[in-house]
Amino acid sequence: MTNQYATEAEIAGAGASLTRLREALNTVLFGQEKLIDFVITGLLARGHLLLEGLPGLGKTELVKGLAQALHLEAKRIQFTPDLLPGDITGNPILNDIDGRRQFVFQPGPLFGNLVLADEINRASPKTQSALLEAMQERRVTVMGETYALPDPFFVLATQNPIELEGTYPLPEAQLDRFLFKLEVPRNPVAVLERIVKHREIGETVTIAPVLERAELLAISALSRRIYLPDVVANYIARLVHATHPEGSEAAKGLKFGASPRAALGLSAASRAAALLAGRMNASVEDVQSVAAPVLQHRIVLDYSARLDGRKPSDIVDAILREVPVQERELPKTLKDAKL
Amino acid sequence: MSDRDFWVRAAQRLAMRRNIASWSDAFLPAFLGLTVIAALVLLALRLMGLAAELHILWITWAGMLVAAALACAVIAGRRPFSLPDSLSRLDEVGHLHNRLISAHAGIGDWPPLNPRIRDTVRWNWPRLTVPMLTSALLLAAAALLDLPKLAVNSHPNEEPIAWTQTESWLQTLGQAKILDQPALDKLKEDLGDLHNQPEKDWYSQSSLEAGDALRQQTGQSLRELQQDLEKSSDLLTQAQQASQMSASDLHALSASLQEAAKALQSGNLPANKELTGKLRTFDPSTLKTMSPDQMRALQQRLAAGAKVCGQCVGPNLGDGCVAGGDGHRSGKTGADDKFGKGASGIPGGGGPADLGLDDTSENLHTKRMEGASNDDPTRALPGQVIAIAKGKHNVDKTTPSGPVTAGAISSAGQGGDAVWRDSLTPDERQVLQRYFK
Repeated sequence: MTNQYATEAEIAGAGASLTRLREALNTVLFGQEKLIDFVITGLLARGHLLLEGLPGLGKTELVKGLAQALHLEAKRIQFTPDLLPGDITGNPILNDIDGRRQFVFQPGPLFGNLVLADEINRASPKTQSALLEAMQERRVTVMGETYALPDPFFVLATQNPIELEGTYPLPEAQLDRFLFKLEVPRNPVAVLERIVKHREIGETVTIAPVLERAELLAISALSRRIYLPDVVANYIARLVHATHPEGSEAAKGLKFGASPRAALGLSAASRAAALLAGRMNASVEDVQSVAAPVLQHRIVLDYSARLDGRKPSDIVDAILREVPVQERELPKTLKDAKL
Repeated sequence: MSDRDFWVRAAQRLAMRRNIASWSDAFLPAFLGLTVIAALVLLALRLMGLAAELHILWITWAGMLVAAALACAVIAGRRPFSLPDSLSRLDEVGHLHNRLISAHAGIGDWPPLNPRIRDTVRWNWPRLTVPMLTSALLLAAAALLDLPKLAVNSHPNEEPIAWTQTESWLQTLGQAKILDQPALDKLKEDLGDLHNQPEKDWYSQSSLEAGDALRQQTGQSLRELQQDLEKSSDLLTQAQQASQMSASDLHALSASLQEAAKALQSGNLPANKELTGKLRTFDPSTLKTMSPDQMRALQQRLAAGAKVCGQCVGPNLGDGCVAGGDGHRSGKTGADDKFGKGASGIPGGGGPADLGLDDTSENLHTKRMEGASNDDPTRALPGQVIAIAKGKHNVDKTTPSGPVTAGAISSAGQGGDAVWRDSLTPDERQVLQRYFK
């Protein structure tokens, strides 16, 4: 019988596996420890990730490394404007079986544990929308037949913030399906030097698997058993409410705020972050650490905010500063002590 | 002390402090407001000279403070700051990753105690003390301030006129030393009783009636005393020829003097005992032996006393020492002067009002109407019709009559006329204004 909440021993065991995974990924991608932590957090929370960054920063390498380290079946789809939904979900093909011609479903590249959707914003909205059901329901429906996707199923999409000509920005409903939108930062000089020393063009980095599929699923289930205190749940709710224009001063420049799915994402991500940190409970600090990647792609700026040059991440930061951890303010006859 | 005990105690202390602070947040404005009201009422009571009512003010104020304190306790108690709230606060301040609140829920161990974050809040003394000090200052100012004399205090109520008059009589009589001192003191005591009433009662019906009765009685008594004194004075004038009187006349005179002395002493206002004593000593033998000068001196003293009494009460009661004299208005006398001449003045006496009718009527001819004309138009009054002329209106038949909608053509024109569209909608007007700007 399993406890309702994760025990210290379970967390310690998971911590060792996660440390191995983190170390393995750090050998694939140099100097991106924070990004790697977010990717692992997203996987533990069973969320899909959208990576945004300039070409050549190692987004594809990271996904490949992740697939090797987790010993999962990885598929890659290069999104182009002429890509059709059937190209990714799969198509029924007319086959001759025992002299009878009948349609047989040929699964597409979506049928994998780890799907790399490269340059997702180059595909047409129709093809992008084909991912909706797969990402949310983890199944695909073709010609009235529904096919379950393998478990685990993660979509790691990348998009390029430049060369926007000929691209199709992801619609809000599609963006909402991604748990995190992570920005891949540019490497500092020291990291570049390390890359130059240890990598060659065209060389494929190979790493040994550190986690089996079943182990990953168990750790992912464990993250859902991390204790989420009421005060943290209340903080998440107030944070998501504050992303709406009427919810806070910081959100005045927004057209739309985050959805309840964002609140669920914050909850799952903060639990996963707590597990990654080896703690038995999610905390306000965990929520604050994952708030930007969870919320920044779910809020829609209005025209004036765009003109003012405000970025979604700035607004999330402002909301984090504005929303107090304690719902009730200190009475006026008290003040904070200097510690 | 275990880690758990340390954190729970710290949280309990914090919760208690926050709950007290929540109560004080609600109570202090009420306290200040009630104190301001109490200070204003205190000022008003002091200005009105109602110092005796202050205990009611203090009792009311204290009662309202207690009620406000209880109401604030109920309000603050509706959503108290609980132990988990305090633990969460300590978590936040100590950056403990919500370990305290989790440990309180039975998840994980209590973090090691940290005396540094034991007290995470402190009292905001300016917030606490300013309302209290302000209240104390207001009350002190209201209680101790040297107030300018208001009309109520600087100009005390004027006494009823009957009292003033009676008091004036008593003063005059006291100076003249005519009355017996105990009788004078009794009168003063009666008047003092009226004075000693609260000022608000001076003009009550009973008080005015009592004052008038005292004045009437005193006046009546003075009149009697005047008559007795005059009588005694006349007798003493006769007594100056006592040497030429027969024995029987002397006996009669002596008896009259004794009777007069008795009357002077037995009246409501007995005369000075010295005077009456001297009159009593006049027997026939004394009358013969007493020198005319002594008699004259006594007679003059009695006459002076009668004069003083007469001056006090006047020819009519009310025309005495204070008012006196005729009124300012003289009544219109009728043919037989039966209504007399009204004498007025502060005492309020002096006869009936002037309501007599004149024999000759006066016709003012108010029903006759007479016209007034003004031929000079330069001096015409506003609204005055100067002239009336007959003529026809010059009507432009091309202009459509009736309501005109915005944007419609206001003039149909007649072949070759310039047609203007001069009615613009607000939006059109704004566009034009922007354009020409």
